[in-house]
Amino acid sequence: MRSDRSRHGRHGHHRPRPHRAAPQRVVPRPVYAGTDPVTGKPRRLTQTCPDEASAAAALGKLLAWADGDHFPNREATVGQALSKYLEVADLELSTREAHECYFRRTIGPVLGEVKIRKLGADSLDSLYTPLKKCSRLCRRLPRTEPSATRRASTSVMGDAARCATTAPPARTPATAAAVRISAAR
Amino acid sequence: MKPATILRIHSIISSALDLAVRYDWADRNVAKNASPPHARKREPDPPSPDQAVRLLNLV
Repeated sequence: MRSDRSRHGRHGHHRPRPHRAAPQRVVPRPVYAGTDPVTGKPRRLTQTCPDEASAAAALGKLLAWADGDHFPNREATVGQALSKYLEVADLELSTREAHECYFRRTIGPVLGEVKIRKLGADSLDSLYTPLKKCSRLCRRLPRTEPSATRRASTSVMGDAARCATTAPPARTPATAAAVRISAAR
Repeated sequence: MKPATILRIHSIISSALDLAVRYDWADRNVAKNASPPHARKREPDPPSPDQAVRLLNLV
């Protein structure tokens, strides 16, 4: 009978994928990397590789991560990366506002939930091309409310809202999800 | 949307993905291989000296 330690061992294994997917592809068995300090749940690192050799290399890398304190977020989404970028980047106030506006209005609804590792250059091109024709992707993007900062500045300065039109409320997340450009490959 | 605006959106995405690569969240920045439109240079059409003189005389 296998001990708990071996089941949750941090040594990792190669777990072959089902034959119907791709017989030569292997996945290292999740490497146990302690518990998450925030959620308290066990943290397991995993990575899909094209062949046995790169799987062995990836396994070594994952084990090194598990031994250290640094845990890269392999499941990070574009939205998370953009939020982090806006948080840490050294930007002038007006530039930051403009960037947040583009993120909220255009990038977020389309790519926000897409995992960075699943993102390809083709996904970005398939966003840029229709944007040339219509900034709301022919109504596939929801209308957005102006940010609180923008509302304050427009009311104080009488400036025209460049960011977005007010009027009807934003669509539900479900509708936004339905119009999201597929980035899965 | 004008090409320059799309280029700006592209630069925001690219900067965010650069950060993701630095944080080891991704192996490479796919935005480097995307093809955003080229921003066209503005071609201003200012009034000619004669037109400018006439305009200033009117004021």
